[in-house]
Amino acid sequence: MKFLTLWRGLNTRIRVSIYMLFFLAALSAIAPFITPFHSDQMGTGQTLLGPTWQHPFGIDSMGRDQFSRVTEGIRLSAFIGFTVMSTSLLVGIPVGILSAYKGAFLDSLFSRVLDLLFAFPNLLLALVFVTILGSGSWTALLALVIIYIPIASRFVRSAALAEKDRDYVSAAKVNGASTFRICARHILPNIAPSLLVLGTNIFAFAILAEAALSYLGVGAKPPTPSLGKILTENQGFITTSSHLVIIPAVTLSFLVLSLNLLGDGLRDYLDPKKSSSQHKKSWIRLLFPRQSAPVNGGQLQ
Amino acid sequence: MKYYALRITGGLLTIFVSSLLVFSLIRLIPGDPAAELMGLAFDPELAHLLRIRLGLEGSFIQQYSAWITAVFHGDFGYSFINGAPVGQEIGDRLIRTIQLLVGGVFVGLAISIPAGIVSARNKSKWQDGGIMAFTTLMLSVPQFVLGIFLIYIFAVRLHVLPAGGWIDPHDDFVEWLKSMVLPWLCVGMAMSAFTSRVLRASILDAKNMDYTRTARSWGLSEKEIARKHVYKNASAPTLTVVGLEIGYLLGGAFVIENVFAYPGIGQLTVKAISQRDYPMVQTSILIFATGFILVNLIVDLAYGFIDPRIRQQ
Repeated sequence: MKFLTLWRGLNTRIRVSIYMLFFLAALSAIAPFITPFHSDQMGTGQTLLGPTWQHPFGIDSMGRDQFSRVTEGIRLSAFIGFTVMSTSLLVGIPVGILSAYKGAFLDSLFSRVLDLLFAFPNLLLALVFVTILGSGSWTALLALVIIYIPIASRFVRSAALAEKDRDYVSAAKVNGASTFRICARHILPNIAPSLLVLGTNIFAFAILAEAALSYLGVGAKPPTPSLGKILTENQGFITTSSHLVIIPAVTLSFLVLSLNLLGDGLRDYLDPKKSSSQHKKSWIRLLFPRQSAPVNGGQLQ
Repeated sequence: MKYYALRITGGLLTIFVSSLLVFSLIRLIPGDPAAELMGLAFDPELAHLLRIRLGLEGSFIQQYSAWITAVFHGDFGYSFINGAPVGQEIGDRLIRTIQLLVGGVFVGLAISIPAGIVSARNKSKWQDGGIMAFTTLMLSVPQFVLGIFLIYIFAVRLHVLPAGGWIDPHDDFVEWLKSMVLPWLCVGMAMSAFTSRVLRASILDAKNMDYTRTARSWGLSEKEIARKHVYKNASAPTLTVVGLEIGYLLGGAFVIENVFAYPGIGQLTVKAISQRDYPMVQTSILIFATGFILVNLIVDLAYGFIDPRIRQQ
């Protein structure tokens, strides 16, 4: 009952994005049980086959079942997104809050290092790390973690900076609370809503970045079915078997779109300045947001 | 004046530090490039000579100063793969990448300025809804997927434009233009999503400001209010975002050039990374970083020019 009330209170964008994500999760979770083909298995006999009942997404140029490859690609993307998000938040939250709260030397050192890192476009930075570490799924993951930790820290820092001079922090200080207690029990809960949005955005961008790296051939190595890798492998057949390219492309966009919608919806929902009447919008409002705040915060891209 | 001087010094300093960073990062790569180059025919004597030629002998500071001096003389070293001078190869491709980005930015502005103005003027009407829906979609479709969709629609289905490649404009100008349309569109559409949202938001903000109301109470015409008060004030935040977007487009160039088989510097960098061609990687990363910093610097300077308040701080 309580759950149902909460669910009804959510705005349309959150609910629809949860439906979309649930659909993708369910699809990739049941895929291994409904199709007998493994994503690396080549001996299906035919190549470049169109969609059939047995192979709903067709067969690629090496005779591999595209359905199991795409669904495994979704799982891989989700894994990468989740790992990058959780690691960067786990490191970024303490570093960001401490840097904002303790200030002084730590903060200025931290800001200089970040300024330098932000002097490079993200994808370029990832390419540099991949050059040093050697290409592959794990190094791409590591590179993304290294890149998103400073981004998360900077975001947390600016959110915590806005909170640290509030009255409740001073009150806690007067009461003799330790630095750790103020950071963990007072500042953190107050910036938690924006961190949820940040986490969703990092999730989406990490998926995009991994797909881009794999597409460029410096991420996942064959036969790993990363969505970006599937796109590179099949792009040459776009004229004859376009479904091999369009289906993974649409899947990737659908995944990112649902995460972005979730992020947008969460921001609206958690923003206390918005009246609750705005949450009850028709389905059409889903893609036609009225609020003027730009999504995603350009710095994440 | 102090504002401009500070910004320029800061920018140059960042370029210097990033050159140091690029240089040391490449040296962090495990393994001896000389040994890797010679493979089975390894000979310690020759390897030493090769290392001197590659600029890998001596202390870090000696190596760096030798490299940076050579860079200022226009000597970027030689490719590990084919021994060609890096500077020449990159120079040719840099021009093409600049063509791609400049054209793309123009397309992006041509889409986002009218889109932002139209949706701000018709706030909450169907025009606004349609444009905002478009931008939501555009923000979710990755750049290379957008490129693939464009290729599928215009090259595979409609057969009106080539799927990729690049034709020298001196050979055939019309064909060159045709080959540039899809890459430009891809860059422009990706850029326009965020830019038109910001433009819309800042126009709406400026419309509700006191100075706009004052201008109206003076009896200025709506046209004049829009031109002198609303749009001018809305242009400052938009400009920052355009600058940021151009910076990200520099990163996006890697991907877009690979989608369209466009022989620019991004494609070269990716190839050089997979071939472990370090002089090539080092130089192109330096060029990308310098470009990125320069774009940000120009935006900062232009921001001070547009908004005098910034200069005071």
